[in-house]
Amino acid sequence: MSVPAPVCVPDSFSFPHVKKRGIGHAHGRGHGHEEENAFSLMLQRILSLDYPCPMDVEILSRIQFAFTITFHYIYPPLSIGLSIALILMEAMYLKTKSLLWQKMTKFWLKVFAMTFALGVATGIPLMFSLGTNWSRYSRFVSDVSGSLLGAEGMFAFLIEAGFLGVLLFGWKRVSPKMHFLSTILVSLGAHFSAIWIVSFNSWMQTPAGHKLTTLPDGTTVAEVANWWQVFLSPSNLSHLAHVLLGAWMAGAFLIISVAAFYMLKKEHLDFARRTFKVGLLMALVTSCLQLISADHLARTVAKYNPEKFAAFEGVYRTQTPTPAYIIGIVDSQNETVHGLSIPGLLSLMTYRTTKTAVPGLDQFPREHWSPVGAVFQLYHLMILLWGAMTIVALIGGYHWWKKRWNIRPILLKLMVISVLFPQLANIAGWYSACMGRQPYTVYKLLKTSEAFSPVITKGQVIGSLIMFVVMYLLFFVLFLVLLNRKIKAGPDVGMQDEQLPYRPI
Amino acid sequence: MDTLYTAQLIMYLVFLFSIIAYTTLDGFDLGVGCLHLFAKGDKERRLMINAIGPVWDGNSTWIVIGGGVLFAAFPKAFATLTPNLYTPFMLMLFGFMLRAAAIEFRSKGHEAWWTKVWDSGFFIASLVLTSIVGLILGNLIQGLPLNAKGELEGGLSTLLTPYPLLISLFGLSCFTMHGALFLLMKTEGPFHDKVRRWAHKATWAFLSLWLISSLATFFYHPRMLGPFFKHPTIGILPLLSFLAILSIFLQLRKKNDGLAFLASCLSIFSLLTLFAIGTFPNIAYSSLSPENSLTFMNSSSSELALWIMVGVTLTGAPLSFFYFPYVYKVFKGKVELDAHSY
Repeated sequence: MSVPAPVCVPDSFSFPHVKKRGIGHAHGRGHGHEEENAFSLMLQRILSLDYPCPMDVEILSRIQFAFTITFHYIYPPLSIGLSIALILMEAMYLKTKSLLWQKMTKFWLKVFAMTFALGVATGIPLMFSLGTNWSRYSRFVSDVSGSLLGAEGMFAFLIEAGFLGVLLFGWKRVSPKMHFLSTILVSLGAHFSAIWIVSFNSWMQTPAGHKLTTLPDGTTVAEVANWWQVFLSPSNLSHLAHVLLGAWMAGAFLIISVAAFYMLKKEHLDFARRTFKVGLLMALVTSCLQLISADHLARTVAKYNPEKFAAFEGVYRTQTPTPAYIIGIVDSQNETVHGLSIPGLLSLMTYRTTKTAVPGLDQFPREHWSPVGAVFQLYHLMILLWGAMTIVALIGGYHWWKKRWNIRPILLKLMVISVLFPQLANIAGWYSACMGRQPYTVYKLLKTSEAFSPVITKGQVIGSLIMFVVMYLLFFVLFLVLLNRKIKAGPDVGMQDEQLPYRPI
Repeated sequence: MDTLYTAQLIMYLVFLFSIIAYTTLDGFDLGVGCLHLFAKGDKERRLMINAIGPVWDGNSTWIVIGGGVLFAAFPKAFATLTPNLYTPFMLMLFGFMLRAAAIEFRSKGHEAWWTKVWDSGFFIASLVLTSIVGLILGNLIQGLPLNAKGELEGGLSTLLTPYPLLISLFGLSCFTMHGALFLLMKTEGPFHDKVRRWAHKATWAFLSLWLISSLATFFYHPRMLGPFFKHPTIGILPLLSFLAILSIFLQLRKKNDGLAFLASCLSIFSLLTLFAIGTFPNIAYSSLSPENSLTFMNSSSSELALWIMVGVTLTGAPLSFFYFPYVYKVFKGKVELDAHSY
């Protein structure tokens, strides 16, 4: 995304009278008069929402969408991941009746509740922004993939919204089994959400099952021809596995991080060790599965979005066999990548043979290139972060296996910060997938420059962008403060007053 | 009736249903928010928030369902209304987010300034959201100045005319009453008596504004009454609506709190049904030229897409009819504050 620097350079052509005053100043008129005018001008500008700003509605809307979805996507992966951990913990509690499992369930339920509420609060504006800022896009895709968004509402939101209340407030009001069922249903709802929204996005990456139609009012839209092909568009299942594993990793590493923090502080050690094991179990399984899923997804992208794949891997020139860069710097001037590469590895990974070349960007018209430098770096950042997570999981797994619980502080500190890895990897992955699709919003069908709303003004988007920045940052800061407070307070707080969490059967 | 029209009509009814469900259900928790600052002291305010604690999130889901249905089944209406009403929608989203933040974060700190900030936030957000819902509905009755290109002629200021502002005020009184009646069922003791006084005042405000709005609609937008003259059989609906509204008043005086709330639900339901009949078949009526109006026929998706949405709805919605009543049953009775409360 080639974003111009967000500097608003005042240009006075929208206010012709200002120019005259300016000339007046040059001729040495009274200063007080000038200041008054400057003030009234400023007031006028604020009220008219007509800011002289070099960014247009398209780029402002892109910034707004990128910003809101980035600060939204902190929470849903956590709630999806934590919901799996909650099922594990509550099942163990029901089986063993151990108070420690109960304490863990309650502690993580509180954290889950926070991520869930924030996910909903930051998510709803996104759906409306498809219309407010991207009306031509929504007009184009509604017929095809509107049902996917509708299904998210009908299947996911209603289940979640209904049973979240029971999960959070129903401890004393329903039986233990019913409470456990609510946990499962809320988790299922969160996963359903992911299923529908990923299928919605996958159709934009690899459209299928549609036909283009021109409506009586002259708009060209995609209409559904075969719903199953729309729903199961070629990249859908690979994307879904990748996204869900990414979400489980986000949950797993938050758990590991908190457990490691307690071990570092030598507090709540029983709680910390058992929690640590749950997190590690999830981290080890998901790290391995993510390798398989990533390989599958990368080959899917290579097959269906070759321009994007070339940008991911920084392949400017087609050559046999194609090398893979571990790290590098993209020199977009000379169209080459400087860095550490392994000869033939990319061909080998993509086609399982060194005899086939990965098509380079030289095979595609320049106007179909995405911003290669950024896409390359984000994609590689994601992979390196996966490596870091796998190392953390293996270190933890080794200590668990050896039952050596006096883990060295430096390793514990690494585990504490590892909570950031899946979050950054998730964001980097989505950015590379969606920036790699540029200049298209819907691959080969709808350009981003033809997708934004024509009727809105710059002033309106600047206003809403400021509102979103304030609100989403507020959410984020409060989330960090409250999570920190919850962790510092420890798992024992709020437990004493309830020896019987459920209604007696 | 051909199959395309059938599918369009079914989806339009689903859309209307989610809007009616939203106003009836979220109406009372928005109303509780509009009354929030009238409660004094931390305990009263906590009781208010906890009364809606387990259900507000589910209630507001209905506006998302409504938006989703509009997006999927009536893309032209969605793509025309949302950017044209950019600023009201953004204010609504702001209200929505601020409310969620206030409910979630208020209980997480105990300093006086902290609770004060979130109390005001909860109140203001509920007020903004309620006013905008009424303002949009009022404008949909009055008609939007939509030109042939699907743009608002004259910009956003055309939305702030007396009639929509009156409807906005009417909506505010309606939700406030609805919220007060809900609180009556959920509270006891001295606070309950205080809520009863609010409920009486709000009901009087609602009744007078209902009368004024009805007269204003009758004189300024007789178009809304057309269908009732055309099909006299549905003329019974305004009468039922009137009876529902009257029974709020009567049940409140008899202290049948449950029945008063039920009557209030029925009143909102019936008023929106009248709205839907009056505006039929328009989703957004154009005040410039009827040809520019967005109807559920001219703004729908293709037939196949509509039938798919019908299928999705028929599988998803019945499930919710099963579990929403269940959740309300689990949480029925007076609010008690415990360690899990907000």
